[in-house]
Parts: sequence; C-alpha cells; structure tokens
Amino acid sequence: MTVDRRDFLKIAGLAAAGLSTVPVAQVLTEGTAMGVEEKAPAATAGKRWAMVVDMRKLTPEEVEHASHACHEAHNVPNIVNADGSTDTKHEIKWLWGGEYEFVFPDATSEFLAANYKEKEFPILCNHCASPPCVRVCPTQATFKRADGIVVMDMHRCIGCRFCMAGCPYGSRSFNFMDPRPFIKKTNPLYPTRMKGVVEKCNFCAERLFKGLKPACVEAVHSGALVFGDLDDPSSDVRRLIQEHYTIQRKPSLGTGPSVYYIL
Amino acid sequence: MYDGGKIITGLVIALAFLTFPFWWNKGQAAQPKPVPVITDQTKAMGPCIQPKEKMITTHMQILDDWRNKVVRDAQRYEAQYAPKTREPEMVAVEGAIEVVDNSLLTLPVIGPTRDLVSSGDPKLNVGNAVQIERSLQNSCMKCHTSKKDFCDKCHTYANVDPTCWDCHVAPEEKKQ
Repeated sequence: MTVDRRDFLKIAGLAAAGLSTVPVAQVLTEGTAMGVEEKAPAATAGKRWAMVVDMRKLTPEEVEHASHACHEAHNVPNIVNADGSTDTKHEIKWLWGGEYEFVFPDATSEFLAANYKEKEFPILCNHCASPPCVRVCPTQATFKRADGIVVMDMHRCIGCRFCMAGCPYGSRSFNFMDPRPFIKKTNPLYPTRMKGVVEKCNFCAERLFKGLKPACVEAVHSGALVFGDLDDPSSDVRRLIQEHYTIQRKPSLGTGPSVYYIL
Repeated sequence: MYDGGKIITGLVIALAFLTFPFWWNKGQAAQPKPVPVITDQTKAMGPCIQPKEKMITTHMQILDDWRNKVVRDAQRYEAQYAPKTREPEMVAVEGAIEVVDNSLLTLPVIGPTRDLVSSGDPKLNVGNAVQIERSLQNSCMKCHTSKKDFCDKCHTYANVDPTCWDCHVAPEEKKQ
C-alpha cells in the first residue's frame, strides 16, 4: 500500500486534532477547579465560621466602633488627604459602613422604607463558600482555610489585584503606598503590610487561634454582631439564621457569603 | 609583539584595578566578627527553643517553617519538650526543629497559652513539655527584645537584608 502526499497530510492533521483534546480530557477527569478545595488541617477541621449582623440592634456609632477596633487591631492605615478628609483613592478598609442601596443593590426598590435607606450597614469580607478571589489569585496568596475563612498569605501576594477585580463586594484594598506612616498607633502583636500588597478582613484568624472572638464582635456591646460556627447546630449564628429571615449580599452571584444580615 | 608598550601598560592598569580591594584595605584590621547581644534579661527567660549553634545556622529555616505552618496550615502553636528534661527518645520529628505534632498532645491549647502569651511569657510548662506560639513578633522578640542588638548585628555584618521587618513590627528599641 502506498500513501500519497494528500493522504499523509489528512492523517497527520487528524492525529494533531486528536492530540488537542488531551488537556480538555485532563480537566474533565480532574473534577475540581483551581485550589479552592484544599485539604483540611486537622486542628480546624469541621468548622465553618460565619457572622450574623442584627440590624435591629446595630447603630451607626457601633459600626464606627467596630471599624475602629478592627483597624486598630490589624494596623490598618488611615490614609487622609492634606485637608484631613479620607483619601478615597488610596484608603484601606477592612470593615466599614455603607447604605442599603450600596450593600444590597439587587434587593432594593424605588420606594424602600426610609428607615432602611438611612441605616448604616457594616461591610466586610464575606468569606464566601466559593470565593472568586481565591480562584483568580495566581500565586494562591489568597486561599480558603478548612474552617471557611478566606485568608491572605502576605508573603506570597504579588500585588496583581486580580482578587480585587474578582471580588463582587469591594472587600479588598490595595496598598498604593507604604502604610506605616499612616498608622497612628501600631499594635505590636500584629504585623503591618508593605507597599504593593492587597489586604482585607481575615475574620480575626489570629484571635481565633487564642479562643477570642473577632475584634468587631467584641467592640459592639449590644450583641448586634454574632460570630460562630455554622456547622454547629446549637451555635448562636445557626439559631439566629433559623429563627429570623436573613439576607446575604448579592446571593445571585453564587459566591455563598458567610455574613448574614437580619433586617 | 606589536604595540607591546600599550598592552603591558593596559595589563598593569587592569591588574591594579582588579586587586584594588586588597591593597586598599591593607593594613586595616579586619572587622571584628559580630556577637549578637544576649542580655541577662533574655537569659532569665529560659533556654531557647533550640541550642545556640542550631539557632545560628537554621533560624531562617525555622522561621520559614513557622510561617508556612501558621499561615497555610493554621497551626499556631508548637509543642516541644523542655530542653532541660529533653530525652533523646522523646524527640519525635527529625529536622530543623524538634517538634511534636499538636494533635499528639492533650494540652489545653487555648486557655493557658493565651494567658502566658499575654503575660509576656511565650513558653508554657506543662509537665515536661512547653508550648510556644510560632511567631517572630510575639515569641522570638519577647526574649530578644532588641532588633538592633540581636538581628541586625549579624545581618548588617553579612550584608543580608531579610524582608521580615517590612511588615513585622520590631519591638521598640530602648534608649540607652
């Protein structure tokens, strides 16, 4: 049997096309997406931390207290303009307050009750069940711990800001400048950040190690912020979510936020 | 040899240039080898987590190992057998640090350790085991309270510039 040039080219072409399906098949057989599902370290397995914000109790002053306590505990700089106003282009935020229409843009209406319009809702990282920031991080600097907390490994962050583009909640801030000159009182127990890294709320992972509640929860005395383990059926957060109607931020995006709001 | 004069002159200049560091420093005493200051206060805090010789050569690996364990694996505390009572068969894991896995111990990790950390003592004696927080800022620098007299002594001499302190907060230097 002789193979002429035409036939040879046809067979070669088909074979090359066949090879191109190999990476697709590999992805399909792997089953999981990028590093979201990590192996659970034994110490924290079986936990799923969450927060419930009870807006019936929470006052704007308390949101301010919580924000202040958080930022002080984590050496978050207060970057201001020369006239003392907040430098909105460079500011760093872990926990702050926002209006209903900003916090729940897909659950608002023209005739929203006035008392909701005026309320100050605390905004923080939602520690999503399937966090987009983790998927897009090229260095796995942002990752999800077995206990549900989305944490950052600052040693790995290269400052590409993909996570900021990925986060639908604007929970992340970028250090455009060295934050140290803007930290009024440095907490010696916690590191600062350096220029060129992204940062966000870490659900006080460093306090949980010591059996302490997050700084914001401690700062709000009315008990409007409740922190606990969703996997524990008898926890306060589970009880509150079961007894009350709660909403999450932008649930339609499928990120599965761990911060619940009772209106 | 064509242009011999020029070539030899060039060679002499090149040789002088290359040996510049040697004859420039000739006659000057070599810089004394630095000795990190270990104060009486530091000694009073008890023995270090590892013998001195091991700390000198492997402290960077220990810190690297610590940061990965704390940040990536959420293992903040490390159980160790107290150096005074350490017996060879008790050392469970080989490597840079002699560590017993947290899960092997039935110590109340949170309560007493927290109390001691906040009271300024990163070590906790439970039986013959100690438990330490894996932390440069909160454990190492609790005993070695001066970055200038301890870390910088050798780092400056060796012209190494570790990036630890870009973010981690060094203890405030006491004025002499």
